[in-house]
Amino acid sequence: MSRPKLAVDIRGLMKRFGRSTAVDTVGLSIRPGSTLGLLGPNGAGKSTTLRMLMGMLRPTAGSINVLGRDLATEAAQIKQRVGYVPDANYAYRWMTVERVIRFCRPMYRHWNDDRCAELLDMFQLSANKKIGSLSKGMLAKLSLLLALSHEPDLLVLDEPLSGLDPIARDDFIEGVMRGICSGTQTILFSSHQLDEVSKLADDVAIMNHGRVLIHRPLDELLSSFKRVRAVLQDGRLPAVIPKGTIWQSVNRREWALTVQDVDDTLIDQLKSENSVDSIEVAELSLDELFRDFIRGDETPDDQRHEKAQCEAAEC
Amino acid sequence: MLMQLIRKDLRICRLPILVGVAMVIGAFVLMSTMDGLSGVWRGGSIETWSVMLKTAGSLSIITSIIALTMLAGTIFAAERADRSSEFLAYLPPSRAQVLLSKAIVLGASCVLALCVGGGSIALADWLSVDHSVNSSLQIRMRDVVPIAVVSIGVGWCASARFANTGPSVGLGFAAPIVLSAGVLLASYFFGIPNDESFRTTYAACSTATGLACLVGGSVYFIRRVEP
Amino acid sequence: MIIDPRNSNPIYRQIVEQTRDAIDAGVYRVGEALPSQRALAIEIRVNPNTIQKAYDELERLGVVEARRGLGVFVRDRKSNAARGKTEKLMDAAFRDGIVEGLANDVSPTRIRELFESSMNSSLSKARKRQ
Repeated sequence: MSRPKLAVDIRGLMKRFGRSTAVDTVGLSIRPGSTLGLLGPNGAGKSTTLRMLMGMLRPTAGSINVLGRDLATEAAQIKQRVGYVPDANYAYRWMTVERVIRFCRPMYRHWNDDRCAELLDMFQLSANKKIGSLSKGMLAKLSLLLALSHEPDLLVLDEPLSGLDPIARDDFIEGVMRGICSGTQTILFSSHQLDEVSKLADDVAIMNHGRVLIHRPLDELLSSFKRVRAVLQDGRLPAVIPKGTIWQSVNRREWALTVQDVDDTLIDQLKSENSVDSIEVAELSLDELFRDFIRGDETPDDQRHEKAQCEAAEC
Repeated sequence: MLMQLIRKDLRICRLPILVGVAMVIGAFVLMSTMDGLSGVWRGGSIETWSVMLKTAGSLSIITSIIALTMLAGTIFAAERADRSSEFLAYLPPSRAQVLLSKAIVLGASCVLALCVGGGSIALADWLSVDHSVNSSLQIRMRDVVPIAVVSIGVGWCASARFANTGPSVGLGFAAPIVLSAGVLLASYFFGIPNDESFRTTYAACSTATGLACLVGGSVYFIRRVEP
Repeated sequence: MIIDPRNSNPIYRQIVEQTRDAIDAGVYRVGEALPSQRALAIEIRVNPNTIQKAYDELERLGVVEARRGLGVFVRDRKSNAARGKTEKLMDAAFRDGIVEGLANDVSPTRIRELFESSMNSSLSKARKRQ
């Protein structure tokens, strides 16, 4: 089989629960061998998206293609090549670590015993411990061990680090890093831990209220969005908000905006269309950019515009 | 892989299986110590033996139906109750394979129960002089099997549907009672007086309902995406 | 190496800066290899592509050189830097001379002749001193 162009190709994915829409026309694509960080606040639809990707939820609409195969028809073949770490491990409580490994082992065609033993050793998991007695960190490591031992082409991690102590987190990331370093493993992880995402991801997608707000390579994202800080003249308010503004706020005379593709023309235009004294442009970290995207998304476009216009009219 | 799944299902259904085994053994122990039958241990006649075997076999079949209904009510729902079904859902085995393992566990248990109970009754009849023993407690297979089918079928179907073992086991137990009330009511309104025809109608209804539930529950389990 | 992902300074640039500091402090000597991309990635838990980007940048800056299949080695940066600085000064001096000449209507051909003759006299002086 020829190597597919995309390891994951999700198009127009929708999931409704009754009247509420958890995932709204989501499209995501991941190049083979790259790492995508899926960001979003709680309830943004990250988990639901990943569960649909794992065939654990039936999409209301849309298509999911994994490693060149259609999930709707070839789920069994896909599962052979995918490792999944859920947000909580629900493996049989009465099994021991060794028992659950023996349980999963015959299900995979490419199970690697050496890799499994190596991870067992690295994570310091005792083979004869009952799963029910493992701590949250240990459970997460066990999930990762089970997900990595069959050397998957795609590793899907759902909020893997939430609730882990720093030591467990380090161990966990080290386990994942080996896959990232191999360059052949594609990784999709959801998180609201911005620090880890900005260190590990090649690409980033930000979700809010079930929609993908942006999906870009991380360095491109960080280099194209800048924070503009303008000082407004006495008693004046912003008149024209530049195109590509994702968030803005006025505090006393300071007008702060996060804008895409900031260049000299844009700054000149901003100066000519608004009554501002000075303008400075600053770089943003992923953490700040993420906040701006979410805050900007919470204020609808028309409302954002109306608000500015009405404020301008008052003065 | 199927072996691992079967072992796992046996472990999940440990309680009903142990209860069943205990009750079947209990039936034989109880009967062999009952008045009039306890003679079997003191060199009792073949006839005492066969009466004891027939009584105990009949009782063991009744207790087996109880245990098998519990098993059917537990086999899917227990996995959803502790959410281990979510763990199984992202592993490679398909729904059909998971179902097959459960069907094998239930089927094998049924066959085993039938062998022990039915075997004892058959042995009793064979041992006795005129090949027909009369016991105060004896069952007719064609009365009992339909009850077993409807209890187990409804338990299985409810188990595939619910996330708790309690309601599915309860429904399994309630099914033959509700059904008999239904058939009784129907026969009252349509005026079917004869006892034997009631039994036949009831048996047919039970078997049909039970089989429909077995198939329905299985289809539902395979088609359902959510773990 | 400590990476601060909350810093608006991009991570690859933090790696570049901290690696230069480490070289200046003598952690890595001239001719020695930097940690492999993979080893550093695991150590500081950063995507290996980011490490690659940082190493590419260090190479562009002339701090290190990549040898195919062997790794990334620290270059003799002091002499490099010194040479770079001298050349910059020379370039500025030449430019001043040329601008001065052009402003006073000296032809480009004449400027080249003057450059050659001053070069020759400087070289012969240097030879005599030896």
